[in-house]
Amino acid sequence: MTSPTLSSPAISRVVGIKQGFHLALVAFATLCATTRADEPLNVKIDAMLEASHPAGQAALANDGEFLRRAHLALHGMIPTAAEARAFFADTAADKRAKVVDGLIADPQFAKWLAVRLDVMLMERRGETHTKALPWREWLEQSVAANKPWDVLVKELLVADGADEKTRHTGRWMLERDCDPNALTKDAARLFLGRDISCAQCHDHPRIDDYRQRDYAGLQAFFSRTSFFRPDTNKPGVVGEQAAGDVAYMSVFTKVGGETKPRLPGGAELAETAPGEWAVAPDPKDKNVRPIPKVSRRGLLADALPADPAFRRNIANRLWAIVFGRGLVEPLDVQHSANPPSNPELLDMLGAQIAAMKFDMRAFMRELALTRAFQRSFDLPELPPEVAKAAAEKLTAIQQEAATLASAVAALESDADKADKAMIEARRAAQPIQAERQKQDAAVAEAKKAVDAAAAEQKKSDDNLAAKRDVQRLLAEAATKVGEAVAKAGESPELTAAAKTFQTKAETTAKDIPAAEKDASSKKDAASARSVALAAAGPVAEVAKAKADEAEKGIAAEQAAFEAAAAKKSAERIRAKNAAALAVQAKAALDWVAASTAGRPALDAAAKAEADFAAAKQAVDQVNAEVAAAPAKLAGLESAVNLAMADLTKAKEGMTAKGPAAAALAEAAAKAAEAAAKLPADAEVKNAAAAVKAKADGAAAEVAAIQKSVGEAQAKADVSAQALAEAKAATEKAKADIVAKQSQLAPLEASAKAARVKADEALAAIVPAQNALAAAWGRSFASTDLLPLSPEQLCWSLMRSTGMLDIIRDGATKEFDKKTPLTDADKADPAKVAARLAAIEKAVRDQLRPHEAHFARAFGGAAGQPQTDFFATPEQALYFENDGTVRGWAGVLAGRAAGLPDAKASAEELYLSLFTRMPTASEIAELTATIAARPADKKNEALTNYTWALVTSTEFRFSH
Amino acid sequence: MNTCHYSCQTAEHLVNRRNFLSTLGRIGAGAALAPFGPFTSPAMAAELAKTQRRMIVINMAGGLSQLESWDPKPGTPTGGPFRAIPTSVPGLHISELLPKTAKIMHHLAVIRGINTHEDDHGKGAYIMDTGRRKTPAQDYPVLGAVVARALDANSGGALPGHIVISPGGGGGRNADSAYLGPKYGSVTLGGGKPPQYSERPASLAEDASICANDLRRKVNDRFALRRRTAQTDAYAQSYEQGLELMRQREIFDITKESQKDKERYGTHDFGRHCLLARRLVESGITYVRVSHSNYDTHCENFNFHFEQVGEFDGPFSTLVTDLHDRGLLDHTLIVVLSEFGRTPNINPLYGRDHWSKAWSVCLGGGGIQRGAVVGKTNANGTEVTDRQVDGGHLFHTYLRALGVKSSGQFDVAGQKIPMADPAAEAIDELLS
Repeated sequence: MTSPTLSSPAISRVVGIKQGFHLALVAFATLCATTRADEPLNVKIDAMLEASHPAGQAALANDGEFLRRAHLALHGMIPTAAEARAFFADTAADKRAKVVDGLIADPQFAKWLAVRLDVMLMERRGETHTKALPWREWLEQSVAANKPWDVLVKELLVADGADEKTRHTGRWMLERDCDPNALTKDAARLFLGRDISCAQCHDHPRIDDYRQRDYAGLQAFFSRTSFFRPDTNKPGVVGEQAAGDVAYMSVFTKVGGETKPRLPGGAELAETAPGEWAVAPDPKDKNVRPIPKVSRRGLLADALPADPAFRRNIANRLWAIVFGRGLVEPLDVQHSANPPSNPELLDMLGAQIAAMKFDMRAFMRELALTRAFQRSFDLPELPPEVAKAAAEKLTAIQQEAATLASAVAALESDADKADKAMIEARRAAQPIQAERQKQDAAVAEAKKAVDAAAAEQKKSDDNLAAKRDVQRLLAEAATKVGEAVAKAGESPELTAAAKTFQTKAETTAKDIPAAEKDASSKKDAASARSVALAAAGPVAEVAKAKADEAEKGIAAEQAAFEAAAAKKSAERIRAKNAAALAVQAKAALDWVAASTAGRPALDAAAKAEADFAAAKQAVDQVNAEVAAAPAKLAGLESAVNLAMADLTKAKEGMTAKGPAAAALAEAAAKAAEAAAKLPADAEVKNAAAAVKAKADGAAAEVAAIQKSVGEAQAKADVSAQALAEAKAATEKAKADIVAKQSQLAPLEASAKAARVKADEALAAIVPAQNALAAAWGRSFASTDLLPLSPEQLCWSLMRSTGMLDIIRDGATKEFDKKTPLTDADKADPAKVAARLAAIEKAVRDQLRPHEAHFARAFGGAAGQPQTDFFATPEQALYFENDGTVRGWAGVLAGRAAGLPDAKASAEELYLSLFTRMPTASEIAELTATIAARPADKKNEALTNYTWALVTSTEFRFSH
Repeated sequence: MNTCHYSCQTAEHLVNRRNFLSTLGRIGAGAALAPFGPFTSPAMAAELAKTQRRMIVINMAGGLSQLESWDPKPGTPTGGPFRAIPTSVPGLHISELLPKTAKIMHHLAVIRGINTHEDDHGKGAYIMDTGRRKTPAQDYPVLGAVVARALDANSGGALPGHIVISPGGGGGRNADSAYLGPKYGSVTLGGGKPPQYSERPASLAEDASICANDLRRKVNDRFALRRRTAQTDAYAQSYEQGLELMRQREIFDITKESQKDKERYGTHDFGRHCLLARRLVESGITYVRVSHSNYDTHCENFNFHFEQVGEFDGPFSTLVTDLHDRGLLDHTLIVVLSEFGRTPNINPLYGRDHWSKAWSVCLGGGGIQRGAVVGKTNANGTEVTDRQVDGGHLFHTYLRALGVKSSGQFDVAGQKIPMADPAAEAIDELLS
């Protein structure tokens, strides 16, 4: 979706085109133009992604979601409660980046990435020829040493498995039985991101980008490779021949060709050192493994890093490790009809990772630093103006998608025609090529005959010359012996010898004409063969010229087809992308419509339910009051009785003490009168004072009694009134409750009716939500819920529950008990490191059976893609009835049980398992769960609760 | 627990030949947790019988001799000591080792012209399991997975559609469904016991499980308010399926069968497994595979076939008869197969060796032309002389008999993959 789209005449006719969606395109185009080379990759990624979203994107995730996601992506397991608490407490602005850097620097990063690479490369294959553990360790060491991806791939491809120490590097090929088709298929899938196995016997029937010629070209890198195992008592190794090419023929069209090694879409590689050996086959020793001078797999390893498909593939696969899904899905089905959600971004990432020298660690760090990585999985409530804008854009986007689609249809037809023309050219060339082969064979045959005749002629000539030589020597010998006889005088021996020589020379001379005749006929024959050869040559030349012409024709048709196909593919990617954007915009619009339309129903349901709940609460309260009334009234009645008893008692005191006090007061008055009449009489005065004192005492006592009578009276009055009031209230409540109860039923009915409507609204909202979530997830505008991988699930469970710590503590104690370090050892860094490594190894040995179990139960089958999600009853029954996971849950429950209150326990559970604080209602739920069990069953209650959390969807999925 | 010594000792055969240990005691602990599942009522079974197709495969592991079973050649140099006897199908004779089966041959058919060109146990079994030859580049799903997927029975339910009853141990779901995914992988009933983990351990109180599962649902419901997807639903549902499987555990428990039936089938593994197979198909399970072992008779072929085929004859004929009597045979395809047959040549140890060039399979029930004989071998049984077929033809034939268009395709993540080898086709004359 770059600027050429904007200038397309069809598009510019669309009214309103300059608005909305295309503003995003303009912004993007501008951005591309202005993206600075020195900007970090993560900034570029966000700029490209955010410019491409036609209807906005989700907000950034909160701290807990981010932390959990980062730990899962970079360490393969969720953070602990302690890590969560520390992160929440951190107020640094760059704390998220710090977490990413910390995770990547930790050894766990290498351990996790090694698992991902292992699963990706081996797809959980077994151990038929190689051991999985040293291979896994080698991957981990490779990641720890930051080995670039292209180097790792090269090591896999050039491995031969011959050296026991490095045999594990051959695992990738050996566990595929070194079968050329298996290797071709998986090299295409894993290194080039395209599953072209259907193109083995013909062009892919449904994916027109996948061609048989490409398959054959890739296969030519592996066609000389085979499983070499002359001695079945020894492990097999990877063998390779020094010669042999790939011929292919479509089972449909019966047209094919030959090819040298060639990357899909690339040029054939020149053959170097064909047939030459570094170690030649030994006919006498079958155990000698021949090694070619030049390995074709080595050629592949060297050619891959420059291939854009190789670059895009690893960028996409690492993206998938960090984000949980690739820019293209499935990861191995990249083609123009299934383009990346953001093609320009994947191109850029491919170029960037190559520029980063295939540094996986640095690349993943950049991905984890993006805002895209932090997008929430919650879809925002899109405001009405967004809906309005999206609605306005939608037509334009859809129209553009339609226009592009029809353009693609035309290009598809062009490419199809070119394909047919190419096939026709190949078919037409078949007899010409056959004729050429025939003539070439004839020339070769003639040449062979010439050589044979020449050899015959030479043999005959040699025979003649030899005979002549012998004859000459014999004749000379005869002559010389004759001369000797002449000079030395006759001797019978010499005479006999001379005769012998003479006779032999004559006999030999008789043979010469026959030899001369033979030589002459052989000469004639040789000349005839030469003539025949000379005649065959021009015929072959003509055939060759014709064939060359045909080859040129094929090459031209091939080039025309490649051009048409490339044009079609490029345009199709644009069209598909436009269609995807239309889907995204439509999904946003539907989501706004569904949530807007559904909102009143949801609100009404919430309100009706709240009203009903309030009314019900009121009724419940009154009910409770009425229920409590008898006890309350009884209490009040007994208070009244008590007060009456007190009053009676006080009144009785008055009756008892009153008359005496009155008499005493009268006596005191009389005594005082008497004393007044007799002022000098001390005795009378004293007696009067005594009477007065007595009278005063009695008066005070009476006053006190009087006061208590008043008080008792008041109390009795209050109690009586309270009782009366309570009785009245109870009567009133009893009367009220009938009325209130009668209101309850309609409220409940309307709440239920509102809920039905709300559910109807939800039935529209949830699919709209899922559609938008899918569209946004696909384009990284929000985050998908994705299932944890088997290892993520196993590790997260063991770590969060504390099982991992228990294992590590046990391993540490075991080590320190068996081989304690002396004080001197503790000062030796090598020994300290060795101790840690030994403990780490012991921990891993104990983890491995659990990892294996989870891989079997939750992973795909050996050799099958490992990304499919499935949930079976057997998996659930393992969690339900096998004691293992419940035991782990018990460990965490025990930790939570030791905390002071339910709130603290809830926090420990939710932070440990969900990386978030519990809500108030979740704390209440845990409190109720504990309260529902006897006090001595608190651990069991907590274990049940913990089990429920670990088996929940919130734990099973990353978000 | 003796290892079979007459077999060729490849990995496939290092299993217990026969396990006389009664597993009844081992099964006993699975007390009823809930009433019978919905499919165990006779009315439901009858209802299902009207609509649902299913399949039982009896795998004669090691390689059953066709000459001592479906294609006898008495009185020839290769024929061995046993006679051929007439059957309930006029003109059709089978080995005298199968007297009970002979009486029910009118429910069955025989394919005598099989040539699978593969004398290796593993590779031969692969051909018979998948209808295709093994290649390193592509794995294919086994018959049970294809049938379970094609009939798509129980796909959303708790009960597995693809069951393998294994005389040995083991349990859980197997990785034999290739691209069809683990959903259709076989669930092994090791030793004929119910599925792994389907029984609540004594250490876990039922109320604790109920409480924990209630909490799990509440936690899931809360999360679903934020986001629900097909995958989260499937995951939440898998626990309900697990609990349902526990409730229906009795389907897998043959101790619930009557003493009379147990006696009719016999107390040896094969008899019990045939009875379990009957119980499973009656309960609506789509595909059940039973094994009888071990026919890899490189020595003493005749003694061992006398013993083994004799053991097979009773339970097998009882099973076919019962299915027929219960109205299930019309909808149940039953196949007796091996990885290959055995050589007509009798070796010096009175054994017969691996032989894939001319051998037989017996099949019957739903979709099959009963009483048919397709294919012929020559007088000594050394060659197919009429209607030669291979594993691909058989695979197509099974699917067609089950009412599945075998030339159809599976949609696997948007990719169309042929159900059966496109290069082969069904044996039409065998289909009813």
